[in-house]
Amino acid sequence: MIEDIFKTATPYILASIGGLFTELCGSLNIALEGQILIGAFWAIVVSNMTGSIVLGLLAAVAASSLLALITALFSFRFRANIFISGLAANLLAYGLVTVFSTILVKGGGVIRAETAIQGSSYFFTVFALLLLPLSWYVINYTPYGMRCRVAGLSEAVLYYRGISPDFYRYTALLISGVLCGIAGASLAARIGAFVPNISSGRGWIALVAIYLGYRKPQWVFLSCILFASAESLANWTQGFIGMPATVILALPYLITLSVLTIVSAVRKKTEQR
Amino acid sequence: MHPQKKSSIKWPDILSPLITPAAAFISLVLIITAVSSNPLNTLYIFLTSPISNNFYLGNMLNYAGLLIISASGISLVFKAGMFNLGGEGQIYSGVFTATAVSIALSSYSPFLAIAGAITAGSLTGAAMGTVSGYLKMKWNTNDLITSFLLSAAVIHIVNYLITGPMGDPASYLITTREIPQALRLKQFLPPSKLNISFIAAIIIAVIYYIYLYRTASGLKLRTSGKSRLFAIYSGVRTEYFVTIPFLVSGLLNGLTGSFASLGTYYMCAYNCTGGVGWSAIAVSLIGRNHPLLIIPAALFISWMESGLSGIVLYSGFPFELSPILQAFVFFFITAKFFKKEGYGDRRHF
Repeated sequence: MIEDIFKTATPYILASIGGLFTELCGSLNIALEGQILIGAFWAIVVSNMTGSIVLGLLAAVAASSLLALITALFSFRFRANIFISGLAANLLAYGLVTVFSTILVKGGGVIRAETAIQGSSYFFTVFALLLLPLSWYVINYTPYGMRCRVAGLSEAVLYYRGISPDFYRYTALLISGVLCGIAGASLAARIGAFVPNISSGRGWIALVAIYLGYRKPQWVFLSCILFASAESLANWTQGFIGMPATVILALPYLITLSVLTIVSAVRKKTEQR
Repeated sequence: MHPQKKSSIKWPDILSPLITPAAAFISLVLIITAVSSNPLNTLYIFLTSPISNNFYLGNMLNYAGLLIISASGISLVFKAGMFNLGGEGQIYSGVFTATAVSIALSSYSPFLAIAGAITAGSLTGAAMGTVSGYLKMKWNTNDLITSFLLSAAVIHIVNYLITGPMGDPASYLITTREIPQALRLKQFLPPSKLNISFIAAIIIAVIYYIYLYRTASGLKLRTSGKSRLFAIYSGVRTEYFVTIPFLVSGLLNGLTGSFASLGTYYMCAYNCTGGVGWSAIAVSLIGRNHPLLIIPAALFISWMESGLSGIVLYSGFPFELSPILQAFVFFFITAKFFKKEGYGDRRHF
């Protein structure tokens, strides 16, 4: 049971820690969902083609980072609204996965892993667990983490100290790209296949975890564990209550919506005080 | 009287609205050329199939009409300084409710059934929009995220309803039952689906234009959208211009769904709206949220999407490119290629 929860939590932890960096520097990346999707796709396709799981992982990271870089380019270089370009990245990921699965894998749809990628899912969980102390240290005790947070609080401060806030925005988005690529690969590894809509709202749940965790890595981590437990419990009880699978697909969005509403209501109350 | 300042032509102002359509178009052409085995023929079909005969022309206009109604709603919220990203779910739920109500009322007079269906479909969309608007007004919850999330959740719930309780067991599709022949909107240009909704769309766009630019309320809405503080200090009760634009926006999306159900799909099939909501956002953004510019923008997007489905049908082009078209539009649309702006003017969460 515990093992199952940690395995379920792995993609959440990876994606939300990645998103946390972008949120801290004031440019929240809502394309986590698309990045996970594209990561999962390339992880399976490249590992099938080359027979190497490591190459599959690298491809997942590269594809997801590339998507993050495109988002960053439009948002920071051309000053597009980051939410609209994040949305564009989600649509692009979905469109490209359809295109490439038609070109590379005839027939598209579900792609089974031909390598022993399923055996590597332990690696991902261990990596996610190691990420907690690492991100906690980087965010709280390194100049990089400090400047990231300052970029979010007041970019003018960085600007007038001769430090480019854009550098921190670009790298934060890149971090989210790398981690979401790994998250996608971990998801594909656990299932042992790529299925359309494999991310099924996990990127959005990861965004909620950031809010629920008050933008602190340790609490974000705990929120991810909470969501993973809820998901395991839902899967486990599904047999008893007979809740239809299509309604379960709606749950991540409804949970995200309620948490967001509660957080904003609480924030409003504390502001008024 | 002050002498009028002589206005000089500013190229960036003229060119920047055209960048997005041009960029999206060129990207599509490049992709088609790269993928297709016979690029010239494919490109020819891509450009001409939407106007090749009455059937395609009518369907393209019909689709443009749906986009105009929905985009008017989307742009109203943009003008009020917020985002409604829930178009897709609002339209889909509108299609579902309108279909269900028209079937339920089909034993009464056709007029009653159609009116009931359109009212019910519109109200469903309006209810969804109101939730986002109310949360924004009450607790300043991020409207962009709430409208998207609510829409995504509702799409899955509608999918559940049409797979299970409301589904048609006799059909091989995942769908509700079909709307009876008597209740379908009359086709102007058979066999195409062009119907009264296109005329309604133009009327809605004109009324919307008059409201926005010729009434006091429209001025207040635009003012509170441009600067909330300025509006408050000018005595505008800005709280009205948060929930109500969202309500109307949802209503228009629901209306789009009702028209789509009664005039285009005649049922609510699984994923039948397939991105109308996203395209409407693209239309609104390309038309710079201006009620009348939305019309050519809708025709452009409708032409592109019809062409894209044309090449899938006729040249064996292997996949649907419309999500990529939408993605390109969204990437380019808020980008600023000419203006260099200072620090501190970005929207934050």
